[in-house]
Amino acid sequence: MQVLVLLSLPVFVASLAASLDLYKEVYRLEERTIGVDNAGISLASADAHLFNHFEKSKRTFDRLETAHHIVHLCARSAVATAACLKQDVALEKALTVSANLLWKSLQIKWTKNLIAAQSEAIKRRTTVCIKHRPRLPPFERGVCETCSLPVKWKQTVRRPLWEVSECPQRNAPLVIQTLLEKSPSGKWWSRLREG
Amino acid sequence: MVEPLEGRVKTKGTFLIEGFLVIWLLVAVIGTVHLSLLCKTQRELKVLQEKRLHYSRESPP
Repeated sequence: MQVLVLLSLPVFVASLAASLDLYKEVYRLEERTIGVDNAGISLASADAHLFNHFEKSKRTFDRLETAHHIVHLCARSAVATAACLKQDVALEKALTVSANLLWKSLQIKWTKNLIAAQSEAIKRRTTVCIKHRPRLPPFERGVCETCSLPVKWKQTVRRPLWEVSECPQRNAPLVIQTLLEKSPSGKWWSRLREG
Repeated sequence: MVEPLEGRVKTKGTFLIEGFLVIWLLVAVIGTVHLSLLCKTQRELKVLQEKRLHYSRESPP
C-alpha cells in the first residue's frame, strides 16, 4: 500500500504543476491580449480626438484667414493707408505664429498618443509595435492663393488605419487594427478591427 | 504458546479499506488544491478583465 501511495504522489504533484502552468499561461495570454487591445483603444480614441481638434482649428484658421483678406487687399491696393498696412502685418504675423503653434501642439499630441498607447501595453507587461502610422501628424500647411500665408491646412491621409501588434510576435500573433472614420455629423470616431 | 491478538492482524479486507481510504484522501486533497487553483485563476482573470479599457461599439457620434 505504502508503495502504491509513494508511486502515485509524483503523478499527483506533476498534475498539479501542469495545471498551474496551464493557468499561468491562460492568464498571461489574457493579459497580453488586453495589453494590445488597450493600446489600440487608447491610440484610436486619442487620434480621433486629435483629428477633431485639427478640424476645429482648421475651421477657425479658415475663418480668420478669410477675414484677413479684406485687410490684406486694402494694404495691397493703390490707395493703401498706413493703418491698413500695419494691421495687415500684425494679422499675418499673428496667423503665422498661431499656425506654427498649432503644428507644434499637433506634433506633441501625436507623439503623446503613441507613448500613451505603448504605456497601456507596458501596464499589462507587453510591448506593441504600431504600423502604418506616420511619424509626424498627417496634416500639412498649404499656401493661400490670395495672401500667400502658409495657413491653409489639409489632411494628408484619407483613411487613417493603423495596425497595433504585439512586438515581438509570438506563436499566436495578437494584432488589432484601428480605423478612424468620419461620421455623417463631421466628427471623427474610432473603430477597432481584429487584425 | 502465544497466539497473535486478533486486532493486530491485518486481514485482506482491512488492507483494502485502508488503501481505499488513503487513495480517497489523496484524491480529495489534490482535487481541492486543483479546484482552489482554478477558482483563484478565475478570480484573477475577472480582475484582469476589468482592466480592459472601455470601447464603445455603438454608432458614430
